[in-house]
Amino acid sequence: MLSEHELINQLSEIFPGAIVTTQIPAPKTIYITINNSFISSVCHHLSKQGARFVISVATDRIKDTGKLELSHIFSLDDDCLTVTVKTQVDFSNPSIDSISAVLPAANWAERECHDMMGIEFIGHPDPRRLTLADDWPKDVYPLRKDFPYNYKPPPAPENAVKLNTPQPPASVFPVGPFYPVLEEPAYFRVFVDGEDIIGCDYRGFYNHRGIEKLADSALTYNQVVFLAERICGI
Amino acid sequence: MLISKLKEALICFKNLRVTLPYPTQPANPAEGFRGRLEIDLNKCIGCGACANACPPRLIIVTNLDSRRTFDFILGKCTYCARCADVCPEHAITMSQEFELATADKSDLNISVELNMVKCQECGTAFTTKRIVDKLVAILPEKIEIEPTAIDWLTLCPDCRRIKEVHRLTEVEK
Amino acid sequence: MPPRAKYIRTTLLELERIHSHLLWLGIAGHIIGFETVLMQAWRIREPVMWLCEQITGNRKTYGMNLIGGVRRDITTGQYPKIIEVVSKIEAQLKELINAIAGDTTLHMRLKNVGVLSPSAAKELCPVGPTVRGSGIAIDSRINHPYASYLETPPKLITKPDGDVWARTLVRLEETFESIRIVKLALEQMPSGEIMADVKEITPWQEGISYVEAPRGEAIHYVLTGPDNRPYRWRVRAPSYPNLQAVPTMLKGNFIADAPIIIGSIDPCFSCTERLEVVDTKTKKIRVYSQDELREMSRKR
Repeated sequence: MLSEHELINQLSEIFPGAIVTTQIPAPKTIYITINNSFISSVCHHLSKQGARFVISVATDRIKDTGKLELSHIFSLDDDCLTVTVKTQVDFSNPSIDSISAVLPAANWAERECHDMMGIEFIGHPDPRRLTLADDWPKDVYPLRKDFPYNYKPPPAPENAVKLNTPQPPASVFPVGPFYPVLEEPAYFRVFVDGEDIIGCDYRGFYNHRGIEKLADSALTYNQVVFLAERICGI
Repeated sequence: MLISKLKEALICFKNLRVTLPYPTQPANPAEGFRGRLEIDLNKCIGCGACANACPPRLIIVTNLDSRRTFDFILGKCTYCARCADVCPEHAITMSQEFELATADKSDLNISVELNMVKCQECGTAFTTKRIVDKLVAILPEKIEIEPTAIDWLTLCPDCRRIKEVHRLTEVEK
Repeated sequence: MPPRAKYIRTTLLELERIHSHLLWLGIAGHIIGFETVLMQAWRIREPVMWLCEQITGNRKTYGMNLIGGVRRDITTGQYPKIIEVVSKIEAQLKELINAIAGDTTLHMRLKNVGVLSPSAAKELCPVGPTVRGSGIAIDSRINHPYASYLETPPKLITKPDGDVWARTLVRLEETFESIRIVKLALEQMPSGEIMADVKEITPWQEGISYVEAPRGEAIHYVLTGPDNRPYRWRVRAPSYPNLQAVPTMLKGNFIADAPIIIGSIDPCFSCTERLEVVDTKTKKIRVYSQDELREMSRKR
């Protein structure tokens, strides 16, 4: 089994100059801060080593470091390790290379970080809006600390997401937006040729309730536990 | 294939109808069920622990004109029972009631009003009378002093600080 | 966190898994029009809902967890009832599976439908029974143990085929595993406190925690803040990566299979609405009602 230090040593050997700091605050949990230019190569390397992409987290750390922090969390399942690759991004130029081209699993996570925190992902294959509503204004990023949790911006329906259309003779078979058999409204735009499905586009997050913003702004730890319980009733 | 269908039919026939005859007969929830919130108004001392703990933050505390009001907007209640957990007087209990449908959400609201005590020095109302009474009743034993020695209980925290500073500087002299 | 709290959490997590998988079985039956499976699966599931109401005060939102432990204890007086309920569920579920396992209509609807190949799974990183049905052995209870799973580890169940039938089998076998773990946890339950004394939490600390929900791995990331409140909380539910795998699973299948394929990842469910079919050739819009869709599914 790979240990925490073995992994860090491996990364520093393969990518000299990439690692800024490392932390091991608990057993089997590693946080590695790297230089932004290395993000795609380090994440690709981890993925080739068998790490599974879990999620990305964008944090507005204006209160303590003054920067936007982007963390990509990976899990090395066989070694029981959690590796978080962190980078710092300036507010004045919040852009960084996308890892979705090499890691398709990060596609939605990066789109969500863009929607919520305003980080630009250079080279993202599908940089459309994901989690925000169709009439949410552009350049208004809800998870930033200067955005109050109970503020509703004026509607801006021109920002609606454009969903894909297939080439003829294929046609669209829209399953949704109030999806049959799903609790949440979800829109599977299925492309069909005759009776065969040849593709699909998805528009979801109609039920996005902004619970992360609420927890960040107004709740204590024990209250968050009860909020988390009510995310889903099944 | 046919055998599968026969087995399935057999399971269905063995169990027939399982629906409970509710609402023609009452359906009583288990003991310990977290139903509608009930407050024993005689026990509440107005400490506000419930307001701090409530996850949907439906308990609104207002201090006005020497009265502290707790408004429970029970339309938002998630029946988590945290308020009942943290109440030091066990004034809040969760009943067995779950039939709470109503045409007007404010039917469920509860308001608790308590008299407050004014600071002897500056006159601001800073706590409820019941809290002061309770402290007068239990503190002398807990901190082993004479009951009359706790006159600082009727001072607000700011005046208490000022008084203590005076006392310490006097002692230094 | 005291050991007893960990075991209580494990017991409730596994009871939740039992109820969730039985619910899914019912819904899957409902989607393909096999109402008997819906009714019987939900009938079998009902006692565990009543049991949870007795233990926690509610059928679904248990509200047991707090920072540092659990709120209510499972008293020794409740153990026999718990074991009785799960044993009965085990017997009845075995009976039901015995009856439907040979049902060729189910095989036609579920086998070789919605295949997710292991290579696609490695690229898209779905979690839970969705990926275990494609032969990939990951389970947060084993990879990132929490609660009492070091002492009561589950058996990791995978099936190699990657179709909806494989995922169904994974879920059914997991239900039996959960029943076994509930009995084991109650047997091994240590005595002691159920809540640790938690003082103020240090600010600017990060924590990541995994939970194997019935649908897959849920992850929580917390960055603690300066005023004894969270500064950043990120939750990723298991359906998030699973939904990203759906377009890949849909390709190459018939339209009538679309609902069950989407249903096989076990997203959150409710009842059917209508759907519109837009025929771009004739520009006619036809609305299928729920019954018509079900008939279309049954004819296939």
